[in-house]
Amino acid sequence: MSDDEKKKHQTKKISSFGDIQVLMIEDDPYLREYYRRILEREGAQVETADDGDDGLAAIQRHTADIILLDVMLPGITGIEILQTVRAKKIEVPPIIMLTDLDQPGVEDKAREMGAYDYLVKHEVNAHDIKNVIEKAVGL
Amino acid sequence: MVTKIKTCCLNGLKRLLEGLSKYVQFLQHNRQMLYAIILIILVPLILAGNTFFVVDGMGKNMDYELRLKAELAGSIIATYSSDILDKQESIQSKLEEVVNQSLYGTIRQAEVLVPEGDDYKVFASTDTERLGEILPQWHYAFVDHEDQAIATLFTTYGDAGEERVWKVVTPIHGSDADTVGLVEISVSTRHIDVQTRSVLVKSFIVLLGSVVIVLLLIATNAQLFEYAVLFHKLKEVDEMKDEFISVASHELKTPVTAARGFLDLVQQQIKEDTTNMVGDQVRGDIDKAVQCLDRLSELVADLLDVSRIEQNRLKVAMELISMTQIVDEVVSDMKLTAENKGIFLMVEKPSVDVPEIMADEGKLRQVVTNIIGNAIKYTFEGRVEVIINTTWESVMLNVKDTGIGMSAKDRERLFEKFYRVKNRKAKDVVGTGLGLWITKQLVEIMGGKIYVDSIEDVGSEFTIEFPIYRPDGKKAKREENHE
Repeated sequence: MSDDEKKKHQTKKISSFGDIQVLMIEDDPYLREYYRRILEREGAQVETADDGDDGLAAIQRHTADIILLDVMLPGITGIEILQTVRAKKIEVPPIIMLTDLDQPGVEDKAREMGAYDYLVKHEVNAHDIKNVIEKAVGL
Repeated sequence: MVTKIKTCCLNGLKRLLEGLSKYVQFLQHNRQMLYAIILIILVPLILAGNTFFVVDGMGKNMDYELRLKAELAGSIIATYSSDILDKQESIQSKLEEVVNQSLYGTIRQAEVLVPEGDDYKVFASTDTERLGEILPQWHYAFVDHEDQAIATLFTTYGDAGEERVWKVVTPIHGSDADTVGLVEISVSTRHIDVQTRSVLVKSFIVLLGSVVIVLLLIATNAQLFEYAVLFHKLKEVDEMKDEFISVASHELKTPVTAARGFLDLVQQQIKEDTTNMVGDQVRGDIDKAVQCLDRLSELVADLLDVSRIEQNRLKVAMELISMTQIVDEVVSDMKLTAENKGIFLMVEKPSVDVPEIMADEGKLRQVVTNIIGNAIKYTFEGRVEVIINTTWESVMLNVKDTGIGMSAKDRERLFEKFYRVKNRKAKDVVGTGLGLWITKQLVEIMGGKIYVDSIEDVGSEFTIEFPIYRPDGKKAKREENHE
């Protein structure tokens, strides 16, 4: 992240998330709703996208402070989105991969591709999400 | 009527083409088969072709030899005769001599002709009946013209069937180099032809024989072709399985996670519900739904593990790991569960340093969690002792409990899939029955061993043991460590 970005994030002193804009790219509607609920409970604003194309479009609107990216989306993998972002040199906030730990090495590959961290989506609870997001946003 | 026939034919043709195109597609997909079929057709063809060409060539060579022989005989007789054309008997007997000496009766006939006006008369001949016969001039126009021996090939049809005959006509030159007569020698290629034919027949038989053998081979190996096709298909299916497991696990876990998540939210809201609007029964119902989902979630994970292990699709990342660290982490995770049951959970470590072992971190954690979890599950009062031990050769983890124990029969079948200890005391214990099977597989895949000992109503003891590896990669052995 550039110095400007870092400053922008530091001035956003968030106490319990409030004000954080989260972009969530996840295709299952139920999981989407569930994550939205636990994020909104903590005060975050949540924008969602349900496939790779919408996700990339949303990323390029640059409105999010943090991105939650599912590993498997219809027609494209989360890793491929990371590759696209990298290739097109799109500026992005910290990206957290939602993996199901099913394919070994996905987490390492994600980190290589520039993901900030990962969450195991089938063990996600409000506590873990909060910790990871706080760490990513620099609180 | 005509149109009916037309459509019939067209349909038949269409079906034929479809069938053919199916074969073509099939062959395209099975290159091996295509090559095999080509070979089967080509090799005998080549063999046959080769034989034919060789034999034919040889035949032609012998033909040529024969012709040369006739020409030679002709020129000898011509030279001999040129001075004595008045001595009929001498020439006659010479002709007969030459013919009689020919091998296999090849030289059929030999004649000396002298001009008679514009035509030629038979002066001497091995076929005495032709003596004096007049032969038209145009028969011999070529010889006159070229003034050298001419050989012509005739095919005659006699009692013995078709016969090829070379007729060689050689001019007899007089003292002043003009043609004073002709020598006509006929040679039959019969014996060559007979031989050639017999060789061809033999090679044809050999060809047929080889085709029969090849066909037999194919027939007995038709199975092999089937297997080749099957193998191809299996490889495709095999590759699809990996993807299937990935997708299946994704699809199975998602609704379970979502359901569990929403129930979690409900439970939280109930917790925050201070007016106690939600009765105890509802809370209880929701708790049970949550427990069921947890079981389902565990079952899905276990089934996927089993499926992967059975198909050898499990990927293990072996590295040096501290057993002590894993045990500490698992124990701290399970402390609460044990406390809630009123069981004492303790860890005992040796006084010496425990060396690291080669294992996959995630899998080892899964194994340790399963064993300690089982100990807690099947113990209702007392304690669970987790003991780490090390010898020269290995690191051992011992989990002792004061639980319900199991019978000898249970011990025998303990590691079977879906096997669960079933007796009055164990009836409320939930589980998939897959945990220990998976644990045993994982331990063995990582190079370790697992043992169990148990006395009913007293308790059980599970031990897993992993070898220690020296820096050079070999297993440590007791003898080598003595100073």
